[in-house]
Amino acid sequence: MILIITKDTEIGRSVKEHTETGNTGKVMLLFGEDISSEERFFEDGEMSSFIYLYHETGGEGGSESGVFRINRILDRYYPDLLLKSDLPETSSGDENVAEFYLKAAAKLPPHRIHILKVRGPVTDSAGKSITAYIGNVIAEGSEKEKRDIERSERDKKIRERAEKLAEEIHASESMKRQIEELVRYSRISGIDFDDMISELGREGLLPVADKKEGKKVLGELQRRICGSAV
Amino acid sequence: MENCKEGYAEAPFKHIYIEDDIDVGNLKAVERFRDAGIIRIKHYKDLFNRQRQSFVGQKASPNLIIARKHGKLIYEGSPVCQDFGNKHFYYTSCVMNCLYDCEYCYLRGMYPSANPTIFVNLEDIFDELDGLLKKHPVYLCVSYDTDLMAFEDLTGYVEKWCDFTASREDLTIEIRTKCARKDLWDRLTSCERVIFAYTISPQEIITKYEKGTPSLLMRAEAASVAMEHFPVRLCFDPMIFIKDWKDIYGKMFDEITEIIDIDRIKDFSVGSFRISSGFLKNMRRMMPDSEIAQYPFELMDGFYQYPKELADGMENYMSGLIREKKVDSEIFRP
Repeated sequence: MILIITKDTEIGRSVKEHTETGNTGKVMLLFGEDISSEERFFEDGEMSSFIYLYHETGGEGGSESGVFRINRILDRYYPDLLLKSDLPETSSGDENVAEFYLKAAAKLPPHRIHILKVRGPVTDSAGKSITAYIGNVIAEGSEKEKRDIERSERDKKIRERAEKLAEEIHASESMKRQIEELVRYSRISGIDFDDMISELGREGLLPVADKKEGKKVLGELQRRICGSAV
Repeated sequence: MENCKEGYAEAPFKHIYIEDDIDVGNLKAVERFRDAGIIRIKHYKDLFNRQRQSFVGQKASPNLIIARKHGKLIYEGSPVCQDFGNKHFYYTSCVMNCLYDCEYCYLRGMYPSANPTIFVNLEDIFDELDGLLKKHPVYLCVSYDTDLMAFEDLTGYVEKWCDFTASREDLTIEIRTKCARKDLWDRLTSCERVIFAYTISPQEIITKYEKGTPSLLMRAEAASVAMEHFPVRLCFDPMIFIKDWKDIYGKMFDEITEIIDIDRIKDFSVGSFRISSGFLKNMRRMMPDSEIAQYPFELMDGFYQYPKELADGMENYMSGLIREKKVDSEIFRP
């Protein structure tokens, strides 16, 4: 879930208008003057990215208005600018920004914390710029989520396959860990683990009577998968 | 940004982080990346040591850090690293991290950040080294945590190290590299005590695991030119297990011996992949889909390595190939 916070209601309304996200489950947009960095939404374990938007009215000595990505906060904190963006950059000396950054940094890696500043009026163009940026955060986050789900499903299958063999060879806990490593490596490197097990069966090494025999089989399986059977 | 498609990853070196007290003018890196945004920082560790950084994401979108290194600048060589028979073995890091992206690199497990960090106070390293040289001769590896040759246009450090070493009789240095540049030799001060050590891998390993590095052919050609100017060491280290490894490493050796006159090589380093348990743990967490990181290594004395039978097999085979070509070759193994 991408958490977007702004204390500026004008920015909040502009972003809401452009994204019409409200609360889609993937993105949570919270805006209001009273929002504090002490709020419990930072305790939410599902937060995958954090975006803080704030407003700086006017400019400092004629500086241009627009949307800026913050690259440094108070000379101490640095969001990691890995996400591609054409937004101009600037630093922030705002203590409030630092507070939100630190709260997010307690839970998130620095490349998943995004701080954007709107300097000058909150125009339609500013709203669109912010929305485009948020769109990239969402898109990149969706890809990551997809990869995480695939990995999680693969890990589940690895564990199940490992448990099955562990039972068959009366494995101890450390043997189970070893089997899981072998199953994982086989999957990644394209070795047919089931084929290897069938081979051991054809050679009369499986089934086994006890843990002692199971350990020998595990050793042989390790040799074959790890390439030391040269 | 981890494993990010090119569409989302920021361009490399879009930002250069520079410590406050460093003068931007005359910095080669700033000249080279004119369009990069300069961000001033108080201390490089504020950036380098941030928690939970994405090493993989930063490899796709590296930013440069320019800083001064403080405290101890020269370290005693690790017992698991090759000392090539030298009693007083040390290493130093005037640059942290590498331009290349090798999947098996221990830097992935060691550093919290992949951002290349250039330390500008090379003179302080030289001063500390002079202090050591007053006590005893020194063998110093200067390109361990980086590839200094690959960074030469941004630092000029290979040239400086050659000059420095040439003027210090009791100093021998090793510059480890995968870089295939052939244009630097004429401008480097020639010195018998500057050893260029080329990491040599089969093209199959290079293609699969050594992202961004020059091809085997290019490295062999570079080594061949280098030996006209400096002693050259060939490092078949780390040897990486791959299906049909014997054929692949054998073919590699045939290919390079067509280009490199093995008889003129100073010495050889041969070693199969090995890594500290702490580093491997980090690498496995960072690269759940990596064939290299997820290999079921065996743990021995705090280090993970291939099963002994396999490791010995690989190293013996490689050493055998070398000895066949050059009977009296000096081969250093772990």
